[in-house]
Amino acid sequence: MPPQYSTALPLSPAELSYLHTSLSFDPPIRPDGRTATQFRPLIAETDVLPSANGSARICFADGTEAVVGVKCEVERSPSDRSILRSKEDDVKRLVTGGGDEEMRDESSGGEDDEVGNGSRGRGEGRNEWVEMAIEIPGYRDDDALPVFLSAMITEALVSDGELKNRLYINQRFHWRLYIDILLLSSPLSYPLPLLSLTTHLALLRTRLPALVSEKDEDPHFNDDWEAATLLYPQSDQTTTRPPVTLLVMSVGDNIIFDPSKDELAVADAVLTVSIGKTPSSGLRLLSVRTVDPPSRLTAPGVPNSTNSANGDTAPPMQEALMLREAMDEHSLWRPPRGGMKRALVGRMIKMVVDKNGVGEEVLEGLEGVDKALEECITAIEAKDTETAKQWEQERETYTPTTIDELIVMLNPINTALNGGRSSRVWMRTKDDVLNLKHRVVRRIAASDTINNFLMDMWAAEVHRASPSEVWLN
Amino acid sequence: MPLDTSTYSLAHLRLDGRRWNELRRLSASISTSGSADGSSYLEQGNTKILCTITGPQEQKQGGARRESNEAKVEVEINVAAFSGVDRKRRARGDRRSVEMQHTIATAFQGVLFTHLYPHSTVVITLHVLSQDGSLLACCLNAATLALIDAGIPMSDYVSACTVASSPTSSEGDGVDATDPLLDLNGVEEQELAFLTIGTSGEEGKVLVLVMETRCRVERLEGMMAVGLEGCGRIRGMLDGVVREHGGKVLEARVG
Repeated sequence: MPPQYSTALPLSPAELSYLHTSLSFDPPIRPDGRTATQFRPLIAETDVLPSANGSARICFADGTEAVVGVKCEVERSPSDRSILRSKEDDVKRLVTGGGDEEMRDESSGGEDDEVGNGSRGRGEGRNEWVEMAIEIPGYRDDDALPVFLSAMITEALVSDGELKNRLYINQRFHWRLYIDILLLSSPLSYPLPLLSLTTHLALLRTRLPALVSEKDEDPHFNDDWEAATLLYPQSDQTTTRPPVTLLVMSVGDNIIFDPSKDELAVADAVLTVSIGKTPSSGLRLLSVRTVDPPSRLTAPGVPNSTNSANGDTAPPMQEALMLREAMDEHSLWRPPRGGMKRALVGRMIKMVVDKNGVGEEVLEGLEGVDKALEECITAIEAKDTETAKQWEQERETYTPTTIDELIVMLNPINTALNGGRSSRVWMRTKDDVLNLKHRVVRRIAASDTINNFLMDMWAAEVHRASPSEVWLN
Repeated sequence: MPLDTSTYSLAHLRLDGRRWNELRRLSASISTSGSADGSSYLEQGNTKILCTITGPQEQKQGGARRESNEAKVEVEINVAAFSGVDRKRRARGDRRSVEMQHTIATAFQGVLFTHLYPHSTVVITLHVLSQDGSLLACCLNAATLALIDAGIPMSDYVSACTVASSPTSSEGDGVDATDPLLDLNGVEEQELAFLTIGTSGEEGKVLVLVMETRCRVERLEGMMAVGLEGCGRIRGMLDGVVREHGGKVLEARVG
């Protein structure tokens, strides 16, 4: 299959012109009737992989889906080289004396964000401890698309400088974080937002085993997975969240979010904006990158006056070009030329980063997937055994309803549904050690803050020891 | 060690609580991916496989044009790095994957009605999301469902499972009545001698028989008998999944 993410069947100049004109109106008329800031519905699931520290799966409405698995391994930190080798180089860093310094590799000179960070004693990590791999069907690992995507997502991930510090165990050991992104369908449209959202969700749910050893001894961890700590702790107000990258496009003066394949084909300019969230200080812009819009690869339309198919002779090349230039750009399709206006870039960024802007909606929506599960689990664990027994009885008499079928059709990976009944159910009480396989279903309709973001979420079966069969709505 | 002989002989229960002839929980659904011609997702215990089909499609341009009156079946297995206990990236063309791909392709080449699609290619892509034993068998089962979803005619379901020769790795018992184990998980596969058997049709015509370990030849017949029975049961389950899905589609259309 030839690797390409442009439209398989190219749109004709007439179609392109039609789309472009519709999107230039105020307000823009999108082919599927959405507003400019409205996202398509998607399905998001977390904890789909039992053997990974964290995992997520997101399916977009156009059929593309991605699975991300996060695995962590303990790795030995390189012992400090002798301080005799410390030399002045372009990278500004102060190497304090003493035996507890770690020497930086040559290779890390490129991605040095810790400029001026002198004392690297406790709690300091390195960006190399995060390793990302993207697999896209039809592409080799060294093709341009996977390499760029991987670089963009990693760049946003390590830019806040905090993630690597959480991977630090002690001076001799650290966690190595492997993020494996698997795009399950061939890339019909630019896959960056999908992969970024899925990575964000997987990282939100990533847990590291709890450390029980102290200081610098060989690390030992608590065997109980329930005691594992989240990589991005929820309650701590000072920690950041993993970043999210959004695709933003512009047509004329209009700014359009979550563009579909057709809309991208007529974009004047496309940006990928990476944002991060600090619970204390709101949203933070991490990076902005321009993407070459596929509209530049389209062929221009041929005006009637120069079209030899009309029966007249076609004017010579130069005259045809001049005629075309002189024509009104709205009447004939022309691939966009030139760059973006700075004011436009500023407006696009502002729309993403503003309070109650699009970026906040997206992050809140994703957090909602997470929270739904957490809430249910904590609610359930606080319950007593009577309620748990009651649920067990209810579950036996339960028959599938339309909601159930809807779930089965739209959420195929959650196949443990088995027509609405789990094949094996045990119940967890305070004394029992059996596990209950359960299904948490929560459907969040448009809420006050997520009024433009439609998201149907079903948390996957949770292989956890918590009985719950919670139906909201 | 996991397969301590003493615990099995006490209650004849394996580590996950199954008896010798019990299959793991099998759940599957088809038509999971909208963008592929056919797709399916199959879970057998903790082995999770997602299969997509592209085709029948034209032969790839470039390279010698194949002269044939039949469609060609190509298989691609993509084992995710997070699928095992340790995170490990597999090279694309490593020997084990190539062997498995070839086995699956040959199996389906015989079952699909390839004469209906001359000069075309059917590409089966298998994504292994999590592996816990019986990898080849689950791949065959998942591919069957996906091919049915793609609407490519075939003579019958291909169902497969694994069988171990005995519950203990020591052969000290001789040839007495120790039962072959059906449907192995990852831990059991590492310890015991086992084979993968794939059949098609109700009468159980054997299409695939792969054994990489060694066992005494007397035990082979018993293993195959257990395997055939297991495949028959799996075939029934796959059939159930397809019928259920078909029922839903019909209901949606007819209302």
